[in-house]
Amino acid sequence: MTEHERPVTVVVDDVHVTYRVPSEEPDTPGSRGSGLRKLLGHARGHATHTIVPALRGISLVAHEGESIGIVGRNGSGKSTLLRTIAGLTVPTRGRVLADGTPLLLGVSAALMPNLSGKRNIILGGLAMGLSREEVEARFDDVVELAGIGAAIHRPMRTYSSGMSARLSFAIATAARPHVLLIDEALNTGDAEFRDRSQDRMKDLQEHAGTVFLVSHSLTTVTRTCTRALWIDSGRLRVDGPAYPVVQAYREYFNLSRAEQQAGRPKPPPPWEKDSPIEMPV
Amino acid sequence: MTATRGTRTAESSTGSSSTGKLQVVGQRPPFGRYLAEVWRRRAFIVGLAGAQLRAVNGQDRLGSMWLVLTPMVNGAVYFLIFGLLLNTKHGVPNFIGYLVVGVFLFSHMTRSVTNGSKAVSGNRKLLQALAFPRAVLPLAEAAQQAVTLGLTFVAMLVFVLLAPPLEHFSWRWLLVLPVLALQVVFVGGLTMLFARLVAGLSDVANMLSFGMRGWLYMSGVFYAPTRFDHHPLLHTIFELNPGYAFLALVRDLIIYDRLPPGHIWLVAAGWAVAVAVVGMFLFWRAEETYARD
Repeated sequence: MTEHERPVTVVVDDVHVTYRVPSEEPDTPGSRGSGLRKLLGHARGHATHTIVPALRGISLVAHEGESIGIVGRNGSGKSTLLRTIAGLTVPTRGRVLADGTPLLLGVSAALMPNLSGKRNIILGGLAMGLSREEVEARFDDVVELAGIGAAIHRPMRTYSSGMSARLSFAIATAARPHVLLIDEALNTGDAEFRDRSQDRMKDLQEHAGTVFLVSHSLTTVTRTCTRALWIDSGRLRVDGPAYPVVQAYREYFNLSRAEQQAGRPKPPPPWEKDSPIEMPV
Repeated sequence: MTATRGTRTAESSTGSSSTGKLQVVGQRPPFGRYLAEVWRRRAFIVGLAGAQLRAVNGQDRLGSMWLVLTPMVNGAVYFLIFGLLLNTKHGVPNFIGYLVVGVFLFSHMTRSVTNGSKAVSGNRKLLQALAFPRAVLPLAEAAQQAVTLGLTFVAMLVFVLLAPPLEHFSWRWLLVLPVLALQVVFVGGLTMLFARLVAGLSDVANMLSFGMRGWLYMSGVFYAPTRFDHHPLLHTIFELNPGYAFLALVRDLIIYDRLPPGHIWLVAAGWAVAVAVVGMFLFWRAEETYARD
């Protein structure tokens, strides 16, 4: 059975997202004028705003059993895409369809520093939409995966950052959603925990229909993903099997760095060549 | 596998795959379904309220004692300034009981509106990390304040029983429970309303303390509306004020041991239902905007 015969889990349909953010850019209208006017502007708060396009027309279809890595430079729109699929950012144009409610691994925001680890497991589980029974059934699993010993009884504010990260990750894995979205989740914790969490991640990927992973570690993407998306300036540039896409991304940036060092102009990116490049599947 | 200059459309690759069970993500559901989703998350509401209660009361050394101490100290100040100095106690039987009921009940409204108005704006990180019906946050705040009201109300009863002139327990005291329930519903609606307003325009939060103070002064916390008896219009306006209605009901039942007049019940119930429905509806209408900065 090929990938495209499998059930569809996520459809991203021509999604555009623009943010309106405060800006101190000198040539935006409103920031010009006398010193007094500027001062008044500061007293008022945000003097000027500017529109930032974060996603500019992304379309893709994900199927059950796929693990999709998203690569791209900082600010290219990777996280915005993830948040849009999670339903946290509403597209300015276009829409996202999904099978079930996609879950972003971001439970740490729901945890409370003054509560013990145990209470946070319950609160975090409920925050992700589990019922009380589900939370109780998975409680021991989470405690075991976190592996922070007796600290589980202590308030979370007494934890080291590594311990908090372990507990948050362990709680996050309790949800077992059909579509799982991960933003750099693997880059925390010590080596022993990384191994354990990577096992758990494999486990999650088997449970989840589809996993999206944003990571700056290209090795992680090639090792854990079947497919990769290369996002640049809010556009989907390349979409295909993980290894060749990551390879192309890596080569392009190594190449451009080498060329720049040699004083030559930056080469055009692969998508600006005349014909679409075909990658070996 | 292709690398393309632009983007490909969803249809071209969806093909014949079944999209029937796919649902649009991140879209505000219709009002009825929204209410059902909020109800499905009731365990989260309760859990969040419990966690917040624990956190609030764990901060200060005297902990939850402050919930009782604050209205007591407030009451003492009002007694001195208004009751004695400005002589608002004149003609009010058992002025201390009258004042204590007013201060305790009104502090529930003040606390709920002040804290509840930050239910959305103070939780942006959580809103940006997890998808859930956002009404959970103000409702958790309202639930937390309802528990607090219950606890402080017991403390207030003890005070009223001990402070002279002594009050006696009567079966009418039980009618206080529906009054408190109505007040919790009313205040829950206010919490949703102000959580939405402050989320959209944070300047509202700055105005809120003035507004609440003004409302407190207008609600007969430390004076009786009998002073408006010669002015029927003012008296009517006063009795339509929900802030006054809840206090009047509880005072009649506990301090004066009599059944409150029907029209005061009607005012309280009407406001409770109206504000709860309007608050929930308006909150739902802005559902998609809350995660934005």
